[in-house]
Formats: sequence, structure tokens, C-alpha cells
Amino acid sequence: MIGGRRRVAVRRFILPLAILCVGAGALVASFPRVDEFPHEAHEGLFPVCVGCHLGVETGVAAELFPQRASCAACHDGVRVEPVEWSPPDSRASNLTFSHIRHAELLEGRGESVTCQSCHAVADAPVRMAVSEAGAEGCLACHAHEATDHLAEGRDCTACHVPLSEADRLPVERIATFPVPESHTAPDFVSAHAPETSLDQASCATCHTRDTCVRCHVNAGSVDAIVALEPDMRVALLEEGRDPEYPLPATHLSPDWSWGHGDFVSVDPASCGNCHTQPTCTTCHIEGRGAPGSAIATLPVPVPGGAPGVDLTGVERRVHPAGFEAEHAVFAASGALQCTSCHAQEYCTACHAGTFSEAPPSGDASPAGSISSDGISYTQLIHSGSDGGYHPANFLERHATEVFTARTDCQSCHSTEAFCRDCHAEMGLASSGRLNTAFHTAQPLWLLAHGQAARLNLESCAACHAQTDCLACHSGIQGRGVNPHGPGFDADRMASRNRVTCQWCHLNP
Amino acid sequence: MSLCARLAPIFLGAILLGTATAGEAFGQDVRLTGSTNLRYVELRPFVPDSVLAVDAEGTGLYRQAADGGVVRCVAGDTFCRGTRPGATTSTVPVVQDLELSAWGFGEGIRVYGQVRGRTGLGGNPDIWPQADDAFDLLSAYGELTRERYRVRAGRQWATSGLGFYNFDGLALMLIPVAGLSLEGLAGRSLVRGINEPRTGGALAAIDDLAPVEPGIMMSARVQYQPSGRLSLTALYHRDIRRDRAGLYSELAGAQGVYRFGQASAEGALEADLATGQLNEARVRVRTPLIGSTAIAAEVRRYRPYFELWTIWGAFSPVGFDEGRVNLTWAPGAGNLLLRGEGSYRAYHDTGTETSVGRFRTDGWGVGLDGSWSPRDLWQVEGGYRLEVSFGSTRSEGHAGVRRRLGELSHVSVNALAFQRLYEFRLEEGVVLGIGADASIRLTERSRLAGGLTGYRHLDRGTQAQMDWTQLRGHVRLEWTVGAEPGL
Repeated sequence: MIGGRRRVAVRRFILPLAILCVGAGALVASFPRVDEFPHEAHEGLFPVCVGCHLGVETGVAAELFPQRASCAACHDGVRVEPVEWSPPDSRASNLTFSHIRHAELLEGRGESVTCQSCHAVADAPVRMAVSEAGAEGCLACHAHEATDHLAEGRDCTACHVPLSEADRLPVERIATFPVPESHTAPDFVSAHAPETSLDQASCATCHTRDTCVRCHVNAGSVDAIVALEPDMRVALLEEGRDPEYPLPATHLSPDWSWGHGDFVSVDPASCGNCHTQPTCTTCHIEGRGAPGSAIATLPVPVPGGAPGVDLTGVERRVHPAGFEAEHAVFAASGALQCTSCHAQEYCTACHAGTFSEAPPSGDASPAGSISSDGISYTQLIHSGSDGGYHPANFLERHATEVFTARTDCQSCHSTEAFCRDCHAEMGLASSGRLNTAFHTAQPLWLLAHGQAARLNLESCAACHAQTDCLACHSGIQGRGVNPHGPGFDADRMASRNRVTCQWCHLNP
Repeated sequence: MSLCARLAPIFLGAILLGTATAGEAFGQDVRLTGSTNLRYVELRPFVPDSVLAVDAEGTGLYRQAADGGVVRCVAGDTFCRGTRPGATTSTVPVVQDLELSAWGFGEGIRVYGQVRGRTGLGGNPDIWPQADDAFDLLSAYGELTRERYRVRAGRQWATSGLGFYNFDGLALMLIPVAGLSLEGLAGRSLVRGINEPRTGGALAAIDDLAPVEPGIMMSARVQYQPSGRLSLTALYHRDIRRDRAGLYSELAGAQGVYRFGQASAEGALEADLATGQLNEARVRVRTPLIGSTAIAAEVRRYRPYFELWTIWGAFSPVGFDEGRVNLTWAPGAGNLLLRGEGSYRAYHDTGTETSVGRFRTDGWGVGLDGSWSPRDLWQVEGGYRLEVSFGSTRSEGHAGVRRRLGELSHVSVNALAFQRLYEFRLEEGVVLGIGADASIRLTERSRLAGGLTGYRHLDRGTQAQMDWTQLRGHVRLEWTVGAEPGL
């Protein structure tokens, strides 16, 4: 019980106190540090800079600034009043600079350089009127070929250390890093992989592995990403940000879905930047229609990792526009293994003829499962359909399809049985010879009908029985009008079916 | 139609459902898929009519009746005869499709069946094709599949470059080496789309010269696919009368596709060996262009094909040569798709032109259609097409808006307008149609869909021409029960 009270006390007092202390500390630390050392007041005491800043010559960081004891040598409270001064911490920066190397380089070129060359306050009347060196001093020599400091192709490492090494930079500073203009280009996200080690090093100036992991589902297998160090500060910044998966230029092609398999086989690693295996299996249910080896080249989702592109619920046209009317050669040649994705009923729903209906399960699969995309076959073919293969009210509109042979009616229908049966019921079929005024109501139609018949004999057969024509064209039961056109090979046809010849000829 | 006939599809469904259940009980896995399709259709068929000869205007054989219709007046006859649209009649055909697939009899062994039942729930069933054909066995076969071969026996579908048809018999496919397959089919041939033998009655009902002998078909196919890019197929098909007095058909064909990325080239040939002529020859190339565009170009030679039991092939039908180009543009993130097409065809010489009447011997067409999805759930689409041709000319446009309501569910509103002109029969006016359709997912594996469209025929020239003012609707229930074979 007592222990419980103590725990309550800890919670009630110590924890808030700790938070208060941390907060106060952070508040104090957040004030900008000012170099309060009055250089100018000491000008007469120190003839050379390295007297205090020996580290400039030795390269030892601890010797870059004098210690407090050095001040106390004079400010002992006897001769001179004591001071409270301490050397500054090494600055929180991602800049890299070596006094020694710079001195060597300049001396090697015969140039004279002093501390004042970089640190003197401009137009100052006294020697020790100095301050921190400005970036303009760097740029005097490290002039960019491009005018922009952040221009693409710059060697960032000339001045900067990798972000992961600048471990004193606070998150707030990292969050305000400027964004190079190149990063705002429309296709940057789609094509930003470093091409050289120099590019890679430049990326590391502002980025750590955590930047990449937000979007890259294959972060663990990309050398350029693995080469980056992880960093908690960047991880904090990336936390909660949605991944970005813009469509690459290649994906904008209207037939992208149709031919994307080649891309996968050639460069699966590229696909693996944004896509995990579930992206594939959203369409390739249970791997249908795609080699399992191709899907296996993509990464699997990692808990807590980038989610990858999610195609669930996204409508997509797998085949090119208009494919439903032009798929015959692909299906017949074996170029597409249709049954990999479609159940046979998917075909027979249209091809079984006689006003067949749309397949029962949309994009039916061999397993008969209803596809997840929700696109019914009808919707794929014609919006506003009456529920079958053909567009709405195809009955009224089908004549043009017949005359232009855009649709291969015979692929599904028996033109003799199907067309004529329906035309008869609609009062369109002939009930004998030319007894009605159907054909343009021209009295001389009979003389002109030969051309029409040869141009589209299917339309004749859709209304007329064969005996209608034999009334004139038979040598036995008609008037012996020869219907055969130029080049008609009677022997060839008779060798296949002499019975048909006998409708008109006694001894074919 | 008798009550039994009306209820036949329901009985059929019950039997198959029972089979599925029993199959599962005995350890086999069964999957049953079904769709029930109900339509409502209004039509105004032409009916024979006559008018008094004295009431018909004009002279000669063809005159005009008071309603604008052309009538045929034989000299000396009191009446002139013609046709006019009869009363509006309707029908409610119902088609029940059932597909059964059963496995678990051993590795690679499967039984498959697909049946179709038809009935009518009212109106005049005669105006709907095959409404009196209560039952169709589309396929029913047993299958044995191994790595290097596949055998099927029973009623089955043949899918080839020569079309899609079913037959009763045996199919054997061999795969001697990867990428090469040989297939042979043999059995009793069935009338395409009718699912019954040539002597089954369907042809005899509409033609005095219908076949009197069943057909025996043999078909062979070689398919070679050396890589994922190239596929070649050659096939031969022969359908012979059972009494061997002749052939019903003898055809050969070849198809090939070469794919390179998103580009492809395809070619096809179909030849009627009885006439020695090509029925189809086509070459088509499709390739992406710059940016978001793709182009497809096709040249094609077409000539109609007729089976040898008909006399039509002896009438020397001619075909045409056609060129077609279409351009597809899908800018942005792919939510806009525009497709334009143009085509031109020139018919071959018929050798029959007379000074009495000449028909156009060429044709052309243009079209533009597109779809736009401003948001994932919304889709707007529309299009226009003009086809000018020998025999029939058509101008039509359509537009629609569709809203997805989750998986397998949607609602859409559609409108269309079309006008057609027949070279052999003039019709005037424009038909406007406005409708809506929707679907809703009922369960994980079932869906209900339906739609209703009203059409109005405006500016009809005469009362004698076909009236397309009508109402059409459909309701479709889709479902699947049973197991999945898995992988």
C-alpha cells in the first residue's frame, strides 16, 4: 500500500518536475549562442591568432579555442577581475572545413592567406576585429558552375558532411533545409536514383535512409538506399507523411497495362521501387496470367515499411482499348493464354450465340471467383448495354455492323438459323419470292439485285431462303439464270460437295 | 408454352445445385456458377397488310398507300399488298445459365458442364430468338490434364481462328516440348450458336434445303510459341457429311502475333479450300507513340464465308479491302482516354453492274469516343460514330455517367441517339434513348444488376416504317457457390 503511494508521488511530482527541467533546458539551449569574447579589447595582448587558436594549425579540435585556464592566467581576480568565459562547443553544422588543408592548398598555389583573409570584419580599422567566416568567403573559391547553390549536379560534399554525421544538427534545422529546384520537377520522384557515387554522396547531405523508406518498398535491397545511414531525426520528420507514388511517364501510355510484363521481365528492380507482390496479385489473382517467377521478383510487404502502390478498387483496363472487338488473333495464335485469367464461360457468354448474356461474375476466373475490380464484362464493352455483349438496342443498329463486317456475326451466330428466324418474326424475311415492296420499292430491283447480292450476300441470306433464289437461278427448278461470277471454280466446289450443285444442275 | 417448360430452368437449377451439394458430401469439390437474366422488350413487328387498289396513289407495280407505305399492286387485283408496323408487343424472356465444374476425382481430372434454360414470363415469346428452345446443353465434358497432354471427351467448345463453336467428340492436345502444342479434335459437328446437330431441326425450320445428314468434323492445330514475344498457329478444319457424299466445310487458317513491349504486330489468314479464296487476311500493327498516345493501323481483306450445304458460295460473293487507323490518347494520370478511328474500304468488282441501279462500292467511317474519370468513383463517357457504307449508313452518339458504389456495385445514367439509312429500305428520323442501370453486390459472390431504357423515334417519315419507340429493361442475378480449386 505504501509502495503504491510512493509510486503515486513519483508520478505526481517527480515526473512533472523532470518534464519542467527538460523543458527549461531545451528553452535555454534554444537561445542562440553569442561569441562574447571581445577580440578587439585583447588586440594588444595577442600578437598572433594561433596563440589561442592553435587547433587551426594542429587540426586538433580541442585546441581550436583556448581553455578557461588560459583566461585565468590574467583574470585571476588579483591583477584583473575574473571572468566567466568558456570555449564554445563545436558548432551544430553540417559543413566540413579544414584550416590546414585550405592553407596548404593556397600556399601551394603561391597565394598568401592569413586569418584575416576570411575572418576580418570588412573595413575594420583594427587587426582583431574578426567574426565568423561567411559563406561568401567559401564561394569566392568554391564558385559553382551554376548560379544556384542548390543546382543539380553540384558536389555537395565539397562543403557538407553527410547528414548522419552532422549529429548535432537539430530536427528543426533539418526540417528547414532548402529544397533544390530539381526536386520539384514533375518526374523527379519517378527518376531520382543517384547515377554516380558523387550523386549518392550529395543525396546523403540532406537525406538518410529514412527518407527513402517512406516510399521504397524495396529499400532493403537497393544499394543506394542501404548505403545511407539511418537517422532518428529524419525518421521523426518522415513519420506520418504519406508515401508518394506518382505515375512514371512509361505508365501513362494508354496501353501500359497491356505491355507491362516486358518491363517487369527486363527491369524487375525498377518495378520493385513502388510495387509489392500484392500489387500484381490484385489483378493476377493467384498469379494467373503472369509468370510466378516475375511476381516473385517483387518484394513482399514489410510490416511498418512502405505500403507500396495499392491497386485495390482501382478500375483498370488490362487490354488495350477496343480489344474486345479485336482479340481474335491474340486468342487464336496463343499469344495470350486467355484461360489463365478467364473461365470458359467468359467466352461462351458472348460466343454461345443467340442473345447470350453477360458472364455471371464479371471478370470470371478459372476458379470462378468474382474479381475484385468490380468491372463487369458488360461495362468493359459498352456502357449502357442491355446486359449482353452488344450495345444498347443493337437490334436497331446492327445492320451497319453486318454490312461492314466489323463484327464477325458468324463467329457466334448461325446466320441461316438465327438471322432469318428473327427477321421472319419481325415481318422482314421473305415468305417466298419478291412479293413485298422491301427493296427500295424499285420495280426494276430484280435487274439490280445481282450487284447488291454479291456485295453482301449475308444480308440476302438473313431474309431469304435458298429456294427464293433458286426460283430463277436453278437450271432444274428455275429459269436457269447463271449466278456464278468470274473465276468461279465449279470443279473445285463440286469436288467438295456435289450434292449442293445438284440443286441446280442435273449432272454437275 | 406449357407450365413444365416454363419451370424447366428452375428444375435444372435445382438438379445442378443438388449435384453440387452431393458432390461436396462425397469429397469432391464442386463449383456452380449461375446467372439469371430477365429482359423486358417491346417491339412492333411488321405485319402483312393490304389496301384497296383504288386507294393507292400512283400507277404501276409499286404504289403508295395513304400511310406512306409502298404497296405492290398486281394488275387486276382488287387489293395492293404490303407491310406496316403492327401493334406494339412485348415479351419477357428469361435465360438461366448454369456452369458446373467438379474436381477431386484424381489429379488433373475434372468434369465440366454448362447449360442454358429459356422461358418466357409473359407477352409474345415468338419475337425473341430461340424463346421456344427451353434447354441447351452448351458443353458437358470430362477432362484429364497432365503436364504434356490434355484429353477432353464430350460436348465441348473449340476456340480457334476459324471461330468459336461446340461439338460432340474428343479433343487431344499434346505438348511435346515447351512452346509447341498439337491439338486434334474430332466428333459430331453442331450448328454454330444453335448447339444442336445440323439435322436437329433448327435449320429445317427456316430452310427447305437444310442438311439431311449430320456432320463429322475433324480439326488439327499446331501452335508454336518460341518465346513470349512470338506466337504462331496453323490449323485445318474439315466437316464432312456422315454419308461421305460431300463436305460441309473445308477451311485452313493461320495466325501470328509478335509482341515487343507495348507494341505488337498481328496477322491472320482464313481460307475456304472449297472455293480456293481467302475469306480473311489481315495485318495489324499497334505501337505506342510519344507521350500518352498509341496508334494502331490495320489492312484487311474480307470475303464472306458460307458453308457448303448452302448455295450461297456458288453466287460468287465478293468482299472488300479495308484500311483502318485508330489513335488512342490517355494523358495525365490515365483518367482520360480518347480514341479516334477512321476507316476506308473498297469493295471488289462484282461484275454485275447494270444501268438500272448502281450501289456504292466503297465505304468509310469515323468515330471518336472517350471516357473520363475525374474521380476514382466517377466515370463519364461518350462517343460518336459515323459509318457510311454500302447497304447501311449509321450516325450515332452516346453519353453516360457512371458512379461506382464499391466492388461490383454501380449506378449509371446513359443516353444515346442514332439515325440509320438503309440503302434497300429508307427510314427517317432519329431514335433517342435515355436509361439507367445499376448493380449491387449482394454477397461476396453474388450480384444483382438491372437497367431500364426508353427509346423514342422522332420525326418518323411515314406511319408505314418501323417504329422504334419502345421500352427495354433487364435484370440479372449472378452468383457462385462451391469451392475454389486453389493452386
